[in-house]
Amino acid sequence: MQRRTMLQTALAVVAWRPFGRVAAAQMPLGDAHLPSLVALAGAVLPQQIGVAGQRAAVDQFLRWVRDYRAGAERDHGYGVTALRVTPPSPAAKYAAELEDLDRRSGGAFATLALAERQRVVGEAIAAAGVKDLPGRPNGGHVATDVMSHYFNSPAANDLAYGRAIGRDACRELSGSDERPPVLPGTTVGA
Amino acid sequence: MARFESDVCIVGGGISAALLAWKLSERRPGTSILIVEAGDRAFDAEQRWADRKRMLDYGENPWPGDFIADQAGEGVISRSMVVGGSAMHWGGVTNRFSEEDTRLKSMFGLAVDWPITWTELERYYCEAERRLGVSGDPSPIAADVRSEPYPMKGMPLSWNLKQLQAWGEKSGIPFGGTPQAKNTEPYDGRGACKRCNTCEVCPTQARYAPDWTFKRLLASKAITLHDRTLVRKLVTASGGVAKVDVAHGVHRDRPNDPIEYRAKTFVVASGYAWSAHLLLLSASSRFPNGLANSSGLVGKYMNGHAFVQTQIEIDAEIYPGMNEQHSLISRQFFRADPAKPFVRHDLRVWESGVNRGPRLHDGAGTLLLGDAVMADWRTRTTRATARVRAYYDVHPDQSSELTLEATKKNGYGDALPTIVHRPDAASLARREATVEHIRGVFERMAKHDRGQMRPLNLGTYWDHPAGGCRMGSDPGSSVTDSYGRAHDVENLFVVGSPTLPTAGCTNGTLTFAALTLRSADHIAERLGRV
Repeated sequence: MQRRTMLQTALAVVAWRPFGRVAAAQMPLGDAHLPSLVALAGAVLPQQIGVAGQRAAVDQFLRWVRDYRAGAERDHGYGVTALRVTPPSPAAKYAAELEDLDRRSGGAFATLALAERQRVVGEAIAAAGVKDLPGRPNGGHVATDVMSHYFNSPAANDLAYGRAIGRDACRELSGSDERPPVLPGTTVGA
Repeated sequence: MARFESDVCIVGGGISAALLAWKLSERRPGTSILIVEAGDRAFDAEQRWADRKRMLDYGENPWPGDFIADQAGEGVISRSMVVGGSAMHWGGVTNRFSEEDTRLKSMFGLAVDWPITWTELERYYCEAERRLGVSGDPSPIAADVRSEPYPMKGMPLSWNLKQLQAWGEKSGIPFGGTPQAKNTEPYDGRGACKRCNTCEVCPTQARYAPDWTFKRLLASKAITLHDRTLVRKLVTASGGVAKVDVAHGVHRDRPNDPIEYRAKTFVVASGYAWSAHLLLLSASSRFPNGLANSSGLVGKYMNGHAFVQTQIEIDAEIYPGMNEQHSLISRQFFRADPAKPFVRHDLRVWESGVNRGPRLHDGAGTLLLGDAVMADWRTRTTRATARVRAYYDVHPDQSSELTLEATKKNGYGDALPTIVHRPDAASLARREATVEHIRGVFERMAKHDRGQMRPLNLGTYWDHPAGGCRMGSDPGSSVTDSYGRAHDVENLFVVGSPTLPTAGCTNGTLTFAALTLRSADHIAERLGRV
């Protein structure tokens, strides 16, 4: 991924559209946070996807943050009377938590070895009181939200099973009664 | 004040309204049909791809704006208020009931018999399946007799469902895929399903939704549709045979400019909650307890079915995410032996990702990061989780009711509804035995493939709700006749889910649709006479 692309993503705005009314706020995650975020991804995402895969995951996470809409209607589902809306953007909290990771590392989080970064991240997650991986990012902590965003993706599901399951992808009905094909480049689950 | 006249005024714009208008327009071409719906149109099919993505990525409502903020009740009442109604985001499951549902009193001494025969209902099931576009395969249960084949071959069982079917049938229980209003081949102008895994917002329109019918009827000028317009009250003429004279409505954008709808025939097709609600709101000096309510049963006998569910971990090669919305069903327990204690339920099995996904801590509480997450996850991919559920037959007490809350009103000052479901004494008395029976079925299944069953989850509400204007032959114990015509009001019909006396033990939409199509025949014949 091009650094420029990441920066463009990072500097984009967050749209706020409670029930159709649009407001905008400057994305608080900026260029200064990128080294920490990339280093964080390296600590919490699988090495199997490689540096390029981790960078792609960071880019997708930043795009998710950029396109987040605070106050948007949430799915009220079938038979549920309560209306709910999405909470405020977690972007500012993420920025503060990335800065905290750096503080916990004496200003050198991005340069720490993997094991040391994971130790720092573990302390931060414990301090934040996050016990479980959320189904999708929920503002619990930037580390667990980066993990949630990746590990709950169809791509991660495929990687875990070593099969091209393609959850949520639209495709023809034919072949659905067969095992999903082996994921190219893997032997897991074959 | 704006005034509109039509031959037929349909109040409510959900699946029942769509089917009714469709059939009336065929049987009585030239009949003026006006549909009044409080919600907006959600006709932009292209937008569904974007809305689906927002739902997947952010958990946002895939049907933005499909509600009216101050038009909400208490209890199991869907917020969906949109042209197309709840069926815009239904799962498309189109199970039939069984004959027992129509003869509970005569076969088991329970609840009431329906005022129509199974043979007649079955004929309308076939029509509903044709109109909705149902795909299905013959049931392995011999008693599930059909007079016509399904319009389309059934949805192929995914690899996962085939494994679960093989496991389930080791316990001697036959399973098949659920019939669904989803195209397995191009049908009625819509394409085949692409198993996108998000049936609640089908981006391809392979799953039937009423907007398809409304758009077609509007294009052919067979109907007039007034959306964003709430009918607040039905008013009868002052003397003589009771007939609805006018419906008072209000457009949500012009709240100070009331609208009058006049029609020869009025049909309330507002679903299980808002139909009874409108009749109760329509109280007058002539009908102080609400319209069509001489029996005192409008809003009573609100029904649905209870459920028990759990997950069973088994040895099976399952890949979560192939087609999570499709399930297996066994209809083996639809029939009950009248000589034995009564228990009826369906039995469903889905693939499940429960305990098969990534986690932050392992079983010992150790934090997992990076490769450790994936390694831990892979150790749990070698087993599988089956989600199993049984909807079981419960019958409503008269006090299972919808009432108006005088202290809770919408912006127009109309009292809002509260629904409280209450089982009758017999349902309550057999509840424990029913749950134990279902537990036994689940345990029987769990004996195979090293099954480990999780604790039972006893549902806390009644699913697939219906009732409130139950049909019957006796005006003293029902609100409408078998065609949905109000006993008390000559030109007023209620169609679809509100008319069900009992809600069976499986998904109800196909039954609502079949009854509506039967009502349509009757209304069409009346129009010919009027």
